[in-house]
Amino acid sequence: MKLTAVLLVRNQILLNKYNYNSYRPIGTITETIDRLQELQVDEIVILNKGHSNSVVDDFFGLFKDTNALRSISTPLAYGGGISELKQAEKLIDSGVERIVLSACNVSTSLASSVAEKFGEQSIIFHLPFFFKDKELTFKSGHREHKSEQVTKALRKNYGGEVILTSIAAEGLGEIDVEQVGNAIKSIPENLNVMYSGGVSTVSQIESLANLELNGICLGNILNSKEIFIPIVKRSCSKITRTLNLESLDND
Amino acid sequence: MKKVGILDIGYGNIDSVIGSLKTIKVPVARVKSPQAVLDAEVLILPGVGSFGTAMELLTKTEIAAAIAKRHQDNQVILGICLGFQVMSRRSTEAPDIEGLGIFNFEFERLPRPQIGWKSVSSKSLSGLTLDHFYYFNHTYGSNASSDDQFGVARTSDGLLALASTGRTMGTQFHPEKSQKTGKAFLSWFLEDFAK
Repeated sequence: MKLTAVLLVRNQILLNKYNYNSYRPIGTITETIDRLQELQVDEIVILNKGHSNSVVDDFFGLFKDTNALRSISTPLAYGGGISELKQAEKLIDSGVERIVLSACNVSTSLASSVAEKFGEQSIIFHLPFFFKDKELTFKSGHREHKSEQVTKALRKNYGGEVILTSIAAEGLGEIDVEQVGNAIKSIPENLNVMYSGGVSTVSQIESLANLELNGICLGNILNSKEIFIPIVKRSCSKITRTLNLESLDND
Repeated sequence: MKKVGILDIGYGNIDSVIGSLKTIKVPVARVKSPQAVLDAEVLILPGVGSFGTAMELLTKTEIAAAIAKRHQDNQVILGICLGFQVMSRRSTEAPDIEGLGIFNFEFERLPRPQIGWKSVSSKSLSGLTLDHFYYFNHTYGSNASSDDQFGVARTSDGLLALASTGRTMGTQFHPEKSQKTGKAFLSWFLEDFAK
């Protein structure tokens, strides 16, 4: 199981999230990525919450130049505003390992064309979820999707992994592990699953680690406590890549 | 350190590989023609894309033949992920398209994509300590049995992580995305394997 840092940005500013839809700015992104790499985070996902037509171009504006982007030696995924294959091509050619698409893109021609060109492992589907009258429901923007529809579409093999984000837990730090387990059961076996939403303690990670997860996403906690990454790596046996202390000391 | 040519014919995460090599002070250039493939001191085949598309591009540009000649002439080659897979006989990703055939095994679709960090171990490679974790991101893999003509390294679940024959090596993992251990691997490859 891997530890993934999720960074939210808008207009080239790093955001802190509280509740599901509220944000406050907290600074720029490049130094944050440098520190996360030093702390040996396993992967970085950047989600751009901007609404303009140039959201993907804004992503490149996060970095001083192309050298800053391509010298990132940690697997990097990006999501936000991707609507065309050529945008995915530009991102992957520039050093982004994987792209993140929303629930409404699970079976679109965009997903199929990216999967055909770069392989299905190059796509992560971001699936915020909640339970509506006890029925698992996924969300993309303001649209809601019944879990059966999404599950059926996911079987088309256009993606390699999903991020399940608990809307109820997002920004609050309270995770219903049983609900997470039920959401994981809806994901076909051909896909890996990461969880995000409200993760802020080692004990939460240990509870989540008992589920069939390929990764756990850390968000807000990293804004106030980056050292949380090595703490988890040292104390949770389910994290695959243990801490390389020699490498950490050299930084 | 030897100058590296990175194959740039329209597939692969070329910029990441270039960025990683630059951070360890390796001179690097993009190569786009069969002659440039033959002339490079060290050739790297980068690794993001699909098997069929990559092989079609390699064949159309006549670079496939140049890579095969390079291998026959014992010139150094490193294939990363897809760059490794195209050096095999074939992949079920595009079963009707032949690979370069440098490695005498095939790649098959895995039950689910392998995305994450794995430790790698080897009994047959000397001079390389592979006791750290490397980043993998692939849907097709091989668990080919060990063959005397190959040096191999495997992940803990038995999949091929690396294979070498002569002065040609392929890695299923992405050294350019494996932080410091990946840079250490690239340094070893260029200083020792490619010596």
